[in-house]
Amino acid sequence: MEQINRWLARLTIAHKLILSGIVFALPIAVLLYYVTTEYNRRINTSQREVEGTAVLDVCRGLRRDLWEIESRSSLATAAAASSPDDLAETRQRIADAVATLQRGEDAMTKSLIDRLSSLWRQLEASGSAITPAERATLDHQMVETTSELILVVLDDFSLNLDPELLTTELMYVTGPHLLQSQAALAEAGSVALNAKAQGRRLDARDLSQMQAQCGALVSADFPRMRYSLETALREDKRLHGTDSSFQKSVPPLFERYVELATQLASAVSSSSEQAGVAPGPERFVQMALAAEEAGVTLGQTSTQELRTLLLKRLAAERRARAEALLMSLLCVGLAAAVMAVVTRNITRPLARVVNLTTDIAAGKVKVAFDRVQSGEFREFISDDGPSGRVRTRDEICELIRAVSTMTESLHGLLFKVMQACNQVAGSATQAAAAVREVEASVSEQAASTNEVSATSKEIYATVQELARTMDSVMKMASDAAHTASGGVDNLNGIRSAIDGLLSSSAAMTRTFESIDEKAGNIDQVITTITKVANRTNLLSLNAAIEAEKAGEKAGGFSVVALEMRRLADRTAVAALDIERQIREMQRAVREGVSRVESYAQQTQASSAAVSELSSGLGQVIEGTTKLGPQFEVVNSSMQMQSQGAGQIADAMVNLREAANQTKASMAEFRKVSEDLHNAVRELQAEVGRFSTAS
Amino acid sequence: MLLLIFQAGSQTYGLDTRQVIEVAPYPLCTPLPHAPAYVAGLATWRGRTIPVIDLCALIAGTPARPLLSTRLLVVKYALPEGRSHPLGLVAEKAVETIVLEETRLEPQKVRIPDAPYLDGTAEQARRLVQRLALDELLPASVRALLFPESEAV
Repeated sequence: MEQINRWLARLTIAHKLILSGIVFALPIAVLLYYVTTEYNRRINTSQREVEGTAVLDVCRGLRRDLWEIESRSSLATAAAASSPDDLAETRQRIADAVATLQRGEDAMTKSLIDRLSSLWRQLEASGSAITPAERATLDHQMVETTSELILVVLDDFSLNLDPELLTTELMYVTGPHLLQSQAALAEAGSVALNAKAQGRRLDARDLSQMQAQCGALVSADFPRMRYSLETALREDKRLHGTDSSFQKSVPPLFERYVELATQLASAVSSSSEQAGVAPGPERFVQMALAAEEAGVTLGQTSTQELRTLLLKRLAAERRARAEALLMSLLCVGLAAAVMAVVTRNITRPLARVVNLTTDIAAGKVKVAFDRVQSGEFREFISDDGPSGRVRTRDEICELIRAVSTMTESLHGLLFKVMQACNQVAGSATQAAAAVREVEASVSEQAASTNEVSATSKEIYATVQELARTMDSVMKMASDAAHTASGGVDNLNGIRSAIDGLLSSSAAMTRTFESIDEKAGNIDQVITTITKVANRTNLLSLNAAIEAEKAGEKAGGFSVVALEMRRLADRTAVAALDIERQIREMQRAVREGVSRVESYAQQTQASSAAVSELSSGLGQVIEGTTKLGPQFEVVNSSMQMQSQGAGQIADAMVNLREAANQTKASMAEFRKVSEDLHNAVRELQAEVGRFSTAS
Repeated sequence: MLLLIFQAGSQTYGLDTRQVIEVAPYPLCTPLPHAPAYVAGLATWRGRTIPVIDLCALIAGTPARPLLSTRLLVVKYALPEGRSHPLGLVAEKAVETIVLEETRLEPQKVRIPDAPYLDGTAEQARRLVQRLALDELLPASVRALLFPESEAV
């Protein structure tokens, strides 16, 4: 079973279809075989019947001839006047018949025929050497053998097993019944013949013998023959219509045979009733011969008819066998043709689908998609294809539709998968990068946490130190408060001294103003002197010029002019000197005034500052005394801060551990994302095998 | 020879007193628009209107400061056609005259094309005095501008 399945799996669909066709053809062949065998059997039967009929015919002729010879020989014995010339024709017929029988090849009849032949040869070879009694015995043996042969032939050639009622009944008519009736006639005839041969009249014993023979004939044989013949005639009418040669020829012969035999029987019975009257045998011999002749004719004719019927049946059977064979072969051929068409109808689209799916399997999805798009399968898919054929609804078309849809879907899907792969690959890369960044950040965070931890420890230490410092500051502040209250008294003294300074500087300013005014007066005088000196210089210059123009005549005038000019120059120089000193003094005075004024301003500012300082010191004292409790508050909060810093340090340690864990997780996540990346790359390669690019 | 000494910038110059009519105080001058920078303007001298040249501006490039010693030197300016006209010159430190022998005056060895009016140098009391040649003081264009139709003195 396993092997059969494996063998079936190797076959293509076309082979499988052919195989199923063969499987279906096998019972047909078996059936055909049996049908043909049956036909052959029937044909053989008919053939043997035909042969048997022929043998029967020969046998019947042989027996008649033998009987004739027997009767003649007995007559010749009685008359002692043999006339071999009369019997030569009959002897020749007997020899021909024996030769004919010997040509037959049937095994069953062989021994009988051989025996017949040896008897005949013995009879012929003996000639006149044997006594008539011995010859009669030999003749009688031949007749017996022939009768036995006829019975054997009837059995052996299946004549008794004839399938048709018509021929069966006819067989009975021609066969056993006629044989018996002829035998009976022959017996009756032979009684009369013996009497004739002995040259005496028929006595009562002869008559009673003849009457027994004829009575059996009329009372038993003829009714049976009639019944069979009527049945055969009815069948023949039914089968072959009303005007067959059988119906025309056989019944009159039968009637005549019956009539002649009945005449003999009635003659015998009437003679036997007339006791004392010994009838001559001549008349009975004649009647018996006539009746026997009629029987022979009936037998020959009916055998002829039987042969004709058998041949007709044989031909019909052969024709029927040929028809059956032809029809069967035609049907098988038609079935094969239909099967070839169906197979081709199935395998051709299937091969194209297989081709398409092979393309897909080989990864050429784009090629397959283009084939589907180019309408290669439109005739299977669309309702009315290019050839206008009706839409087919079988499974292969469904398959093609499904495969086309699948190809399109697969193409779309692959396209999307490729896109998705690219996106996922990009995302994975981004994720990996992000993870690396996060990892780096976590490392930084760990480092920062360490720093913060260290810093918080420092803060803790610093805060402790600060708290100590605050204690000393508090002490110093209370000292400062004491010192400041002493400073306020000193400041009041300073302020009164500054006020005295202010009043004296105002007096100084006034003095400077009067000096400035006087210096201005001096300046006016000096200006006047300078103007005079200038005029004098100008005058002396002009005088000198005029004196030069006057030349020698001017004489001492030019000297006077020179002196005048020198005087003016000195005056001018002295005036200029005084003027310079005055101006310097004025500048100094103004400078002193401005300095005194600024000094006064500064003094006033100092006074104000001292006042402010005094009030500020008061506030300082007040503040310092208030500072104590505030410092305590600060101190306690510093302690708390110190504790907080310690807690921060602890928290930082925890945070560092958490950061390390996060780092480990990140490394793991990076590994996972790299795995994802690799997987996506493999997926891309796998999908890439289904190339969507042509 | 008597030289009237004055200063322009840091240098000392002299003018022959024979050409000087009078030394007067520094007057108010009415400026002449679009005239050269060294033309101080017009001034009134003894009822007459005379053009005034600023020697400090002409020689040193800086206008004369209004000091007491800054004065107006009225000179007799000889025109080429034989006429002469009074001309005012403003100079600083014009407070002195010196007597100089003609022989001690050395002719100008270096002639500057833009200062043709310097015609001699003399050393006097450890200072160099350069004499001014009045004729060469003004270029012809300015002269024609200032004295289009001058009258005789």
